[in-house]
Parts: sequence; C-alpha cells; structure tokens
Amino acid sequence: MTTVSAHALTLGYQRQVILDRLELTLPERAISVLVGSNGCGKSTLLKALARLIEPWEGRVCLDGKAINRQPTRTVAKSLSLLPQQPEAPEGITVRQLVGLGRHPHQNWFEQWSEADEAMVQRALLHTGLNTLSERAVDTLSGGQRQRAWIAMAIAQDTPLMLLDEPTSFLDLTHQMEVLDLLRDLNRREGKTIVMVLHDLNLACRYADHIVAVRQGGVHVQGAPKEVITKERVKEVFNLTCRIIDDPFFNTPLCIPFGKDVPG
Amino acid sequence: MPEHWVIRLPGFSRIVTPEPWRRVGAILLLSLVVLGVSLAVGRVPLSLSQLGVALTTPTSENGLIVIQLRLPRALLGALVGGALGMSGWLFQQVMRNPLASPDIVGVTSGASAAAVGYFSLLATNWGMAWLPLAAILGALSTAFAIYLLAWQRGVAPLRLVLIGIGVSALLGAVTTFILVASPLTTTLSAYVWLTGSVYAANWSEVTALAGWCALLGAALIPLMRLTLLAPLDDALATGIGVRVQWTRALLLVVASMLAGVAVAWGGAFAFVGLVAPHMARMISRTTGTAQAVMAVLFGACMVMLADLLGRTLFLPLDLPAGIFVAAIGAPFFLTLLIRQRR
Repeated sequence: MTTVSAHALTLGYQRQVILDRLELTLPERAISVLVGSNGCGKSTLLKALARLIEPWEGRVCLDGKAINRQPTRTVAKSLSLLPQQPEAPEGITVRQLVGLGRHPHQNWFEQWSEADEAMVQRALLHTGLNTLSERAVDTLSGGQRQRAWIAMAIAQDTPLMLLDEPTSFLDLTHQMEVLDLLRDLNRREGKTIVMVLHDLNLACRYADHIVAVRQGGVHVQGAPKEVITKERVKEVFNLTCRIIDDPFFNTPLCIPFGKDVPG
Repeated sequence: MPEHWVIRLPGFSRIVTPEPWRRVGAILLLSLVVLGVSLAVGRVPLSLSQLGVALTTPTSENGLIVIQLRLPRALLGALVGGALGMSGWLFQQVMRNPLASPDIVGVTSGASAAAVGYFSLLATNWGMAWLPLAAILGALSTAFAIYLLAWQRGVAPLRLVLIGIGVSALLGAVTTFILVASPLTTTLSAYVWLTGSVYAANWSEVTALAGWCALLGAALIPLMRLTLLAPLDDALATGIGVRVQWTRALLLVVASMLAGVAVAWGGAFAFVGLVAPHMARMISRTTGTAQAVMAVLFGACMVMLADLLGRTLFLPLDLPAGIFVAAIGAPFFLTLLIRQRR
C-alpha cells in the first residue's frame, strides 16, 4: 500500500516561506482535493508531495520513508504526477506520449515489453484515445490533450496519482469528463488520487476528502459535508457565501455572494 | 504497411516506427552520391569508370588524387559535419530551443579562442600536433563555465542559452584581440581556420577524428533514451523517474565534446550545427533516433558539398568550405524562420 504524508513540512521560494510546519496524512484509496485561495500554497504542497521541491525542514514521506532520499525511479513506480499545463515535445504522437509513462518500468534492454504494450493499450482505451493514438499531440483539442496526459499517468501504473489542476482551461463538459475518468480509476482500481481543484463545487462533488490550505498550513480537512460550511469558506477564501445541499447529489453547494448580498 | 515493428527477444524489446528510417536510408544514399561526386570532380575531372579504376589502383596518378587527396578530404568533411549536426541536435533537445547550437551557445567560440590562442602563442614552439587538444579543452571548459554560470539550484534551459550567448560574445572578443595582436601570417592562417576548412586533409587526421566520433557515438548509445526525454519539462520528467539535472549535464558534456572535436579538426564552421538538425526535423517531425541520424547525415552532406563548391567553383583557387556553408546555410535558415512565422 502506498501512503503519502508530510511532517513539519517547511519550504518556500527564495526567502519567502510558503508552507510552514505543515502536517498532513492523506487517506489511501480515496480522492483527496486540495483547495484554497490563490497563493495559499496548495500547488506548492502538491509539488512537494511529488518530490519536485526539496523541503527546507521537515519531510515528505512515501510509505513512511523520506521521499527525497529514495531514487527518483523507485518513487516513479508508486507515484505519478500530472503538472499544471504540461507541454508536449514537438511532434510526439499520442502513443509515444502515453508510452513515456512506462519509463520507470523500462531499462535500456527492455523498452517495449508485453506489459508496456498492455498498459499503454489499456490507458488509451480508458481515456477513449485508442482511435487517436497515431495523431500528434499538438494537433489535439484541449480536452483530448488533457486526456492524453492522464493516459500517460495511467500507463505509469502507480497506486498514487497527483494532479495539479487537471481541469483548468477546459470547458465544463470536459472538466466533468476528466473528473469522471479519475473517479472511475479510484472506484475501479482503488487508486489514491490527490489533486488541486479551483472549483469548490466540483471539489465537493468528487472528493472523499477535502484539504483546505490557508497561510501555509492545513486549515481544516475532512469529508466535504463536514468541512464546507459558510464559516470555513469565509476563513479560507475570504468569501461570503451560503452553502446549500445539492438537490441531486446531496453534496454541499456553495453559492458565492460577492458584492450582492441578498437580504 | 505496418505502422510499427515490435521487436521482442528474451530480455530485449523495442518498438520501431519504420517510416522515418526509410527516409534515413534515402538521405544516406544522397550522402553517398555527394561523396561520389566529391571524389570525381576537381581540377582533374574523372568519369565514373575512371573513378572506379582510380579507387582500385592506389598507385596510379588518378589513384593518388582520389585516395590520398580527395577521399580523406571528403571523409574529414563528412565527419566534421556529422559531429556538428549531432552536437546541434543534442543542444536543441537539451535546451528545448530551436536556436541552440554549438556556435550560438558559445562552445565553438571557446574552442576557437583556445585554438587561435594556441596558434599565435604556442604553435611556433610546439607545432600543430596539439591544436586539436587545445580546441577540445577550449570547448569543454567553456561548456563547463556556461553551466556553472547558469546554475541556480539546477540549470534551466533558457538561462543556459542566454548565458551561452553572452559567453560567446566575450570569447569572440578574445579571439579578435589575439588575431589583431598577432603577426600577419599567423592571422591569415588562423582566419582560414576560423572560417572552417578541410583543406589538405590527410588520412591520419581522418582516423583521429573517426576515433573520437566512434567513442562519442558509443557513449551516446545508452544515452539516446534520455535525449528523447530531454525536451520534456522538468516536472514531467521527474514524475516519470528521470534524474533531470544529471541527464542534462551528461548530455551537454557529450554535445560539447562532439563540437570540440569537429572544430579541432575542421575549424569553426558556423551554421552546420544549427541548420542540420532543422533539416532533419523538417523531414521527420517526430523526435527519435532516426531524427538524430538524419541530423548527422545532413551535417555531413552540408560540409562535403560546401567543400566541393569551395575547391571547384573558383579554380584554381581553393576556398575554405566554411564560406560556402554560410552561403548555403544562411539563406536556408532565413527561409525557415520566415516560413515558421506564417
């Protein structure tokens, strides 16, 4: 089993502290969503969990062992990462891109084993890209491209997937498509999914566990119903709102007020 | 026609797309044609049958011309161009910048400054035998300096390019200073060398450079997989388990060495390292080993052709190939840029 956790995690850029003695243990086989206002450090936290940033103090642990001490290839077998707005190398085809996800499982001799082929096929099928596999990634639409990146992460075949705003710059239809796909992966294969989302209502719909980040620490965490209240939203986002029950899905629904506060 | 070939042996597996390799084959044929023409054309023009006779009778007059003069010269040109093409391709992959090449990021300038310094300060006492070594060391130490200057908790590709351009300008000034301060005869031969020339190439030079190229080529075999991952952004590459900084440093060393040895035996050819990879990319958009091999072949063709023009166009003058590389390369490059903007 693969667990990821942060202990007294402190780090930042230049001299500015972004995360300050942050403690976090994420539930296994669940979808966790990091939320918070711009610049609160949620993306930084995700990067630190993915070993992209070295902590100043404290540590990130993968299965109880410090992640920065483990060989990066070993880590890549249990943790895959989709950064924000990744850019595909010029001219690369969908199949090649998805195949890159197999890198940690390959060596100089074995570069297209039966397992590689099977996993790439499966990832293409899951994401509905099997008919587009020979197309160049830079000719795809935004939604297709995002699915190609997710397919690459799927092909990596890791129990843990970290995604930084996988739905940004997608229209609502494609946002739902991506989130449904991720939930499928979680429900069917028991993958632990950790992602940053901007849309609080979608976060409530899809998350099993919400982590609200504020001032470089975890402000509150738990199931959406417990965590998302108007007081919390005010604290975390500095936003006046009302929370109602979603009439169809029974998850919290946030109605932001902005300037117009109804009587 | 299959889109891929899958090779599976016990403990060994590959997926190969045959399409770009077919094009590699075509370009290889083209290179051989260029080589053949280089051997046949010159002050003593030979027909195809005469060329055949000359190649099989090394002691005949034509045999001497072809085997002792034209062949080593063409092969040295091919090796120099091939090494520059590969070096440029590697730089463009690693720096993720289509403008990166050994002459633009300063590695060629480093080799030039070292070689010209050797020319005017040490050559009178030590002879010319150590010139290649000076050039290689110049290339490597410049690459090292650029890398150190660009380091900021890791090296970002764009920063490498920009610092390289700065260092290149600085080294250009050093070279000019040495040239101006040296006696006229030294300046003249150094100037020819700076343009790039394979004039009076002999077999010992060809074998020496071929040895270096084979060594560096062998080093690239296990690294090829990493060169294909180099254009990925750092976060993605780390995510799939690549040691990003280590890979980048390693590939830069090989790319700089390739440029260093090319410059050491052929002089400071401009444009080959920049244009050859672009030609390869036009023929095969997909990055891969086939594309790298194309860059090598295009580089080889460019220098062979340029030298052919240099020694035949203005007979009896024998002009340095570097002039013609720029004459072919520059217009080509401009067309490329203009087309890309549209």
